[in-house]
Amino acid sequence: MTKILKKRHRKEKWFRRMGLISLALALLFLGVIFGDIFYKGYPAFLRTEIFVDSGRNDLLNPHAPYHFNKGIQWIIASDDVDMYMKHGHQGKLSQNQIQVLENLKKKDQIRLTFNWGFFTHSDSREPELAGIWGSLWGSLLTLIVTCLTAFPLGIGTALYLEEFAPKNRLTYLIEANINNLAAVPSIIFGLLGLVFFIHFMHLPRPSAVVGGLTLGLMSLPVIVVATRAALSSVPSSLKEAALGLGATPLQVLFHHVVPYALPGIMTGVILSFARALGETAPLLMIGMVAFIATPPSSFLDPATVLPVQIFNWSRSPELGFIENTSGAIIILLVMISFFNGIAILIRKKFES
Amino acid sequence: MRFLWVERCVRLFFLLCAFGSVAVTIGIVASLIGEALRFFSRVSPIDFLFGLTWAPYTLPTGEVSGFGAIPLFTGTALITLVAMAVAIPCGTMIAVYLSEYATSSVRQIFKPLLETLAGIPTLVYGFFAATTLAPILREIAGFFQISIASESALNAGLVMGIMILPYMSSLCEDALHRLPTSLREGSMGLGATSSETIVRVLLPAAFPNLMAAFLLSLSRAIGETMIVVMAAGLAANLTFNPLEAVTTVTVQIVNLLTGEQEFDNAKTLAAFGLGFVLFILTLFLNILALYGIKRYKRIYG
Repeated sequence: MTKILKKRHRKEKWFRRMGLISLALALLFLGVIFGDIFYKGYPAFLRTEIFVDSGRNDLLNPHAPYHFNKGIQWIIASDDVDMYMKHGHQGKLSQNQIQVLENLKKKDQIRLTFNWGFFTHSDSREPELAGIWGSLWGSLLTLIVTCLTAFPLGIGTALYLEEFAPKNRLTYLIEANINNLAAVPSIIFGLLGLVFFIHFMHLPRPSAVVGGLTLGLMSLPVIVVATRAALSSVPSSLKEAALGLGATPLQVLFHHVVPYALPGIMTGVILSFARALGETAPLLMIGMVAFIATPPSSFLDPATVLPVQIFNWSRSPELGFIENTSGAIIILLVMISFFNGIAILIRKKFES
Repeated sequence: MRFLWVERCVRLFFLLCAFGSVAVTIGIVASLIGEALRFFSRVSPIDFLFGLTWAPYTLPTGEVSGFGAIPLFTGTALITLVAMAVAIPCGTMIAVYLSEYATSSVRQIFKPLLETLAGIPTLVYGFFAATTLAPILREIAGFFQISIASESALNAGLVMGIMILPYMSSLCEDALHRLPTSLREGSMGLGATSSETIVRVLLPAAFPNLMAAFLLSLSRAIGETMIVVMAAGLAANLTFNPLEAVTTVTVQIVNLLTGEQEFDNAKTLAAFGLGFVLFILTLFLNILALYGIKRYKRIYG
């Protein structure tokens, strides 16, 4: 008897351990991916500058003569020099050039400083001059369009379905429709955006408005599902009490139901916002992959967004761009974690 | 009376919102069908769905060749299979652990971490697969003297499996959570250990909901784009060896539509043919998961 019991207990222990191992694996991966991206990306926030008193244009970035003539003396080095200083990669540098660099090092005329340009410049063909400013603007404009379209429409739909809709076949059909839409791959929404906004409505191709509307279509069902879940958790006694006291249905809705469900709605909206912020595939469909070196100044200007910029950089063979890719991913992850963190906080605060 | 008027207006506004949302679905289906029909008027659906070579090309005479999508379907299936092989056991075990073993304070720590994993954009997973995991796999394969393609299905599949892991585990956890405590108490009262309760009572009881979770994750893996665009290959290989490079439906859609600006040739229209197939497939899986499974649900409590 005790033998069998021992065996069963051993089994129990192993089963429990398997669960822990699976969980540990997932978390290990989380750690590895964050560590890896950070390790590869942090040098992107540093850049090499050379103190220039006589022109060595071969060591400087191609736009250097312009700054040099203005009397600025610490000038951004070319990406080959940058890679040599950071990682010791020789790249295309000649022995002579490396000699010069070593001499500059001894004389303290070459330095690594914080790469402000990474935040203030837009995209460039030169990795040492490329930055994320333009794509951040693009992301902002795109997401404004998404917020203005998807959020009111989605929340309105959810309110209708949850509070007003008669329980009939049509309502059921609409519901089924939206539930299914929420699980459609994002790339399909890109195809829809391409056909509808660009070929049918002739909106300008890689613009923030098309990107925002496409992402809006993608977020819409997710927002509807999340909002409905929040609304259905409102106890019906609350509604009945308000109605019994003579409130109109609309007053019940806006004075009692919506405030009660607001944390849930906010969580859903913020999570779908964070998802739209990191979405790439549908934007590739509508031509946002183009190289754009100036930040968009209106919703109709050619624009790119941060994830697409990351995708573009990741396809470039130059080492400098691989570093930039990881650096931009760090920024993207920080922004997304920020929004997800807010959503988690809201939920925690109102759960208790 | 003014109130009534306002009530009506607001109600109308909400109704319009609902119809707007439905219009989106109809728009998707209509535009996909429209473009897919244009494609199928040039390439026969039989050749498309059952052809064995994918090398889309339009001859100057207007003839088309190489529109056989079978290699894309098998490629998608292969990568998805690898992903599910990672996600199903791990996801179920994580769900079991969090729902049955973990104390609430442990859950409070680990659930947000899993949500963080779920919040990482797939682009980042793709970049990780292409730049970090691929060289590691090559090293490992080199150690065992096996040849592995740098854009192997194994690489993309593994990372995709980890991407759907948090999604799967949260769906499975919900399924387990919904079971009444009386089931657990009954089983344990008869002397079963926790693991015996889970394996023999809880998992079978939650089986329809677990199946739904698997199907939803499957549909997500099939439609996933960025991981495969960055980590899987472009050449269509008809193979079931996970160490070789394969391409997928989504990779080809991106590939066909990002280069070309012209809209009126069979090659770009093929993207809509593929999109249509993808849409139907994921729709079928979702409907099966959300409604089909309902028939087999047992009601407890």
